[in-house]
Amino acid sequence: MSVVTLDRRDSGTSGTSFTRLLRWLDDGIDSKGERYLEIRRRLVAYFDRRNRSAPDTLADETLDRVSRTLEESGRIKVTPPARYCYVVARFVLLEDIRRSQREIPFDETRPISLDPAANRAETDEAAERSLQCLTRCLNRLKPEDRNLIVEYYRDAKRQRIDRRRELARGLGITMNALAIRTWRLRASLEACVAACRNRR
Amino acid sequence: MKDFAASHPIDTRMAMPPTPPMSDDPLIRYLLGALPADEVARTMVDDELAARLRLVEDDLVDSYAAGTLTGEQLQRFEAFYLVSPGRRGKAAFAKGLQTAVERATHQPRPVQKVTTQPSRHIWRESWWPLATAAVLILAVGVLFLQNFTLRRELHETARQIEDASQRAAAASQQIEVERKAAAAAKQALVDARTAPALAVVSLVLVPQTRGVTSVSIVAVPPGSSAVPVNLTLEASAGTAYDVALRDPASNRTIWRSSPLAPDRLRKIPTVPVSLPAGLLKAQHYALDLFELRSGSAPEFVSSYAFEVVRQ
Repeated sequence: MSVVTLDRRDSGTSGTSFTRLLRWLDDGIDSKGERYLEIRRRLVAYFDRRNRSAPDTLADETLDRVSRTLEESGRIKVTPPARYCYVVARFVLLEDIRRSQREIPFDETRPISLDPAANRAETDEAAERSLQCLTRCLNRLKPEDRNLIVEYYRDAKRQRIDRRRELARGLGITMNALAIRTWRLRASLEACVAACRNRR
Repeated sequence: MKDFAASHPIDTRMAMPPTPPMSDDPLIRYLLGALPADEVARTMVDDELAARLRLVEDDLVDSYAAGTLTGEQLQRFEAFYLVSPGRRGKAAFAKGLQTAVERATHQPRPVQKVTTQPSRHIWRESWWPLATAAVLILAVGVLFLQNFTLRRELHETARQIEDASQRAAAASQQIEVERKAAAAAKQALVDARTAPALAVVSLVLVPQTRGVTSVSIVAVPPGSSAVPVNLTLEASAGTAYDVALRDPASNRTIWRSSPLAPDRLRKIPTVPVSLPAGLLKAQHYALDLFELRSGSAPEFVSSYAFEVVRQ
């Protein structure tokens, strides 16, 4: 099992509180911190899809509030823990919206329209830099993982589906398991590329 | 700021009832900013749905990067999804991944090389064994040639050794014969020295040959005036002969006979000659026999060597 490094330096949660939070999120199954990372990832995505400017900060704020509730109440009856986190996250989102004094209705269906050209404005230089980072990160993967990524994402449409089916059959796993495996590889690549770009 | 979660205890009343599986279409609409709030909750709480949402998001972003998004989906993607810097980063990553995969798949692979360039590939893969085989064949050829040459030389040497052995055996045999002859001659000399010198015995000389032959010994008793010698003829006898006594050291003729007639009564014809004993010293001499023919110069017939022993 992979070792997970949990960075809680920006949080006000003490070591004991954080341990309690991890235990509560695990819900009886020791995930070595994986469950915390998974919930935090979902929270970041949730705030990001609400177009908040600091989704990571809001995700940490949500988890801090859950941790404080655990400290004060001793236990939270809502199950599963992810459901309680989502409920808290909705209030954190609302507060953030109000704080930003924007008149944005709290409506999940609201589309946000901005200039697409501006959104896509990533310079060629930045794109090339990202590509270099990606190549470097790909080369850091184990050969079988690198091959899996390449084979999984090559081709298109029917050919791609057939290839993925063959890959799954070759590995002796289901298509869903193959998708999850490659998603993990892709997520690690994304993190690697982000770290690489930040270093440059 | 009001901390809603802290001030409003949440209990199990907020638990949601089980809901049927969600298809990909609502997930795509959610990703594009068009999904009711209650459905969003499911993507947060349901682990399986959360995982599917991530996969659908990756597929959606990949489709955009590949340029296969069209119509309203493309519009909403650009209008909503690309608003966030984080999501723009995902789109950029998808584009980069696509490029990287294209580069990786378009790089020549070893298996493809076998298919497209078999001969060159095979040559590159196997030139060492081929070279080794060539060297081995060359070496075997050289060794075979050397072996053939050595065998031929060995046969030649063996033949030469056999010839030499045969010659050595013949020489040994001849030497043994000569040794016995010499021993007999010495014995005859001893006998001659001890015998009374009253009678003169003629000596039969045989022609000198190129081989190793013992030299006949002529014992000259004291007081004798002539030494009779019979010279054997190899061929049929002629009518007349003469003999020249020659000193082989100086090759000078010191005496010559008068014309002589051959003795045809003997089984082997001989030419009898009487040598003047006074001329003979204790040394080697040669008698040259010449056939005399009328109207022509004397013809050399043979030479006879002997050693004079003075008694």
